Amino acid sequence: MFPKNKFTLVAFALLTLSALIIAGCSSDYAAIANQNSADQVVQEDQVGGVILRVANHPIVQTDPALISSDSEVFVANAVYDYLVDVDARSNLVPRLATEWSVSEDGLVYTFTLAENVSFHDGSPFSAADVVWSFDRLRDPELGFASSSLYSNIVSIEAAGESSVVFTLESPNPFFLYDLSDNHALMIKNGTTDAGDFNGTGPFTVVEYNPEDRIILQANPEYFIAGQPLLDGVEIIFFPDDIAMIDALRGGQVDLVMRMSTALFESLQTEDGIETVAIPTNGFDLIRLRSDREPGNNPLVIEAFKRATDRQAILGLVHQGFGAVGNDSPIGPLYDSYHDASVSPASRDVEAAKALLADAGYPDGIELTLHVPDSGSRPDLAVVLQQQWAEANIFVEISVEPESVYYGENGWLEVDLGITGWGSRPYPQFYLDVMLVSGAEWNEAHFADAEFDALAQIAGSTLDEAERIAAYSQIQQLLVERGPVIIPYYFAQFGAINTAFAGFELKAFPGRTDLRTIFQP
Amino acid sequence: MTTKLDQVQVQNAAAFRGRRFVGFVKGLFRRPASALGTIIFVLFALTAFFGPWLAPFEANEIIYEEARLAPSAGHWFGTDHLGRDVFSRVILGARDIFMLAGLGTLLSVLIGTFLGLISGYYGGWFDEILMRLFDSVMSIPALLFALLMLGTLGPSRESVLWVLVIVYPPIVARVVRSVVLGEKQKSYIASARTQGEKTSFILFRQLLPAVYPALAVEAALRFSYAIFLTASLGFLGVGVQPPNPDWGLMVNEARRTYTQVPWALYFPAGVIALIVIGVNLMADGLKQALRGEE
Repeated sequence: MFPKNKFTLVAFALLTLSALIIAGCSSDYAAIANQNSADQVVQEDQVGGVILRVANHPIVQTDPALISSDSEVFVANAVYDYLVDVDARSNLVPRLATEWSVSEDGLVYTFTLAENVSFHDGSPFSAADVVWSFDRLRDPELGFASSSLYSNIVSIEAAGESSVVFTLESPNPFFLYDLSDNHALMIKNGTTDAGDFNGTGPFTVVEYNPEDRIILQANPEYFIAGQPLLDGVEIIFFPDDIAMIDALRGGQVDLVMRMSTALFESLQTEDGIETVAIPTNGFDLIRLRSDREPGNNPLVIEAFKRATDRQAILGLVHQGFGAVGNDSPIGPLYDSYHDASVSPASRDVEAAKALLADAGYPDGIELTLHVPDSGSRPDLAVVLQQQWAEANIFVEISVEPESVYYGENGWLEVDLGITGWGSRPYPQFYLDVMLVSGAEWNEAHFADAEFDALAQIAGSTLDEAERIAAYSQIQQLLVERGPVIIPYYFAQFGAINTAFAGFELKAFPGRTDLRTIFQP
Repeated sequence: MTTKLDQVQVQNAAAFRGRRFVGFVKGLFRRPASALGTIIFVLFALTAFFGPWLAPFEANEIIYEEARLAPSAGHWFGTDHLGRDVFSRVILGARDIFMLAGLGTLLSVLIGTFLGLISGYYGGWFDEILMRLFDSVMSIPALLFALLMLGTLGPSRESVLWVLVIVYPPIVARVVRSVVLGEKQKSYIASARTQGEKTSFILFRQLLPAVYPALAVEAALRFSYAIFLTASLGFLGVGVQPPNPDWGLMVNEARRTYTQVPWALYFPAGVIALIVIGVNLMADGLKQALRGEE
C-alpha cells in the first residue's frame, strides 16, 4: 500500500493533496471516480425502457415480516402491496383494499379487495392470502416484531374471495394505520420461503445480487391499469452516503433519499438535480437506560435534560432544518396531538450540576455514548459531549457502523445511546413499541405505571378529546421524567435527477411510491 | 586519581563531539531542500509542544454563533460546520499525531534495533525464524494489516499505537540487521571477540554506533510513514475517534461539508501533506549529512 521509496512517497503525498483540492473544487471528480461502476451499470442493464436507478443501502432481510431498514422497506414496497397505504401527508389511502367499513362499536372492520390481482408467479390473489399474511404476522409463536402490534386482533376471516373481516378485542382508533405497518405486505397463502419476492406489487424482481444491486421490472399484470409508469427500477447498493451523492452528481444514479443535512445542502447548487425537503416526525432519540445505575435515578435523568440546549443543537447539527424537540415522540406535525405549551426546562448548567451532586455524583458522571455512524448522529454526539461536559457529564463517544450498533441487539443493552427513529403516520406507534413497559424496542427500559395507563387510554379510546388530553399528559410526563431527550424532529431529504417527474418523497422514504414516477 | 592527560583527553573528546554535531547540522542545512524539510519538522515539533499555549480555542470548543465562517483574522483557518476553530484543531491535532506517530516510531525503532542487532550478530536458526516471521508480517500491506488489527482491537488511540509497534519493527530490524551483517565481518569485531569482550559490549558499544547513520534515516522515514498511516486510519474512521482533532479524522468529517466549508478540509489535508514532505526532505538531508561525516 505504501510506496517503498521516499520520492514516491513525496509524490504520493502531493498527489493526495491535489486530489483533495480537486475533490473540493469540482464535482467532475465524482464522475471520474465512479466511471467503472457506471460501465458496470450499463453492462448489466437487463430491462429496457425507462429505468430509474436508485442508490440505497444494502439490504439483508427480504422476508416482509423481518424487514427493518429503510432500504429493505423500499424494496419490499416495490415488490409487494399493502392492504391499506398511507400517502405523503399521512392520510390513509386504498391499495389492495379498495374500500372498507367499520362497525359502530369500532370492533369489526370489513375490507373489500381489488379484483384481478395476481402474484408474480401467476397465481391469483384472494382473501385467503390476506388472512394468511396477517395470521403469520400476529402469531406470537413465530416471534415477529409485529405480533405485539396485532395482539388486539381476535380473528381474521375471509368472507368470500374478495372480502376480509377483522374483529378486534378492544377498539383501536389507529387500526387502519396499524394495517399499513411496514411489515404488513401481502404474501402468498402457504408460502414456505417468504423472502422469495413473490408479491403482487408493481415491480417484479429480475435479479438480486446481495450487496450489489437488485433489478426490478414493471409488473405487466399490475392490478392498477397504467401503473407503474416506469419500465424498471434498479436499486444499486452503496455502503456510504457520500458515495451515493457522488454517484448522483456523476449521473450514475437518479434518485437518492435519506442523507445528512450537509450533503443535502451540498446538492442545492447542482444542475440537473431537484432537491426535496419535507418535514417529518422522525427524530434522534438520546436515551439513558433507566433500569440500572446511573439512569435509574430521576435526578440524573433531569440533569441530562437540563444540560442539553436543544435549540443550539438544531442550529448546529441541522442548520435549522426541522423543528426543536420536546423530549416526546409526539411532534408538532401531529397537529392536534402535539401540545405546544409543553416544553422542556431551558438549559441550566448549574442546576444540572446540582442535580448530579444531589444524586450522589458531586464530581460528575462518566459514560460511553454509543452512536451509529449514519446521518448527523456523530455530529449530534460531538455537540452533546461539549454541552454535557460543562455540566460534569463526561461522555466518551463510540461511533459504530449501523450493523454494529443494531447488531446482536446491542442498542437495547447500552446505557447511553443515540437511536434514529423514522417518521410514522401516527404517534401511538412510538409509545407502544418504544416507551411502554416491556415493549420490544424499549431501549431506555422505561417502566412507568402512569405512562403505561395514559398510553393505554390514548391507544384505545374512540373519544378524540380524551385522546388529545392523554397525549398532552404524556408529553408533560416525558418532559419531566422520561429517560429520553429528543432534541429535534428532522426534515427528510431527497434528490432526484430532473429527467424524472412524479416523485413525492414520504417522511419514511422507504414507503415512497415508485408507481407514479415517470419520465416526461 | 585523575591525571592532567586524562582531563585533556576528556576535553578533547567533548570538543570533538561538539564539532561533530556542528558539522552534522551544517550538513543538514547544506542543501536548501533538506534545510526546508528540517525547518518544517522543527516548526511541527514546536507546534506540537507549545500547541496548548498557541491555540486560541479548545479543540472541541463550539462557538455557537460562529459556525461555518471562512478564514478571517478571528479564525485564521475558519470554523467548521459545528463552529469549532479549525486553526486550533490543527494546532492541537499536531500534538496528538506527533505523540502517537512519535511514540510508535520510538518503540518500533527500539524493538527493531534490538531484534536486528541480535538477529544479525548471532545469525543461525534464530535469525532464520525471525526473518521468516518478519517476511510474513511485511508481506501484508501496512494499511490492510492495520485495518485487520483495528477490526479486532476496536478503534482507539491505543489500538493505533499497537498497529505501529507491530507493523514497523520488522522493517527497522531488517535495516539494522543488514548493517550488522556487513559490520561483523570486520576485524575490530573479530578482535573484540578474541579479547573476550562481553557480547553486550560488542552489540551495544561497538555494533550499535555503526548502525546509527542508517538508523537515523530509517527512524525519520518511519516517522513520516507513521503520520501518514495514523492520518489514513483516522480518515477511514477506524483510528482515532471523534471528537479528537486528529487530522485524518478532520479531513473525513469535513468531506461531508466540503462544498459549504472547504477550508475545514484544506487545512488539515494540507498539513498532513506538508509534514510528510518535510520529514522526507529532512531524512534525505540526514542521509547526506551522515554520509558526509564519514
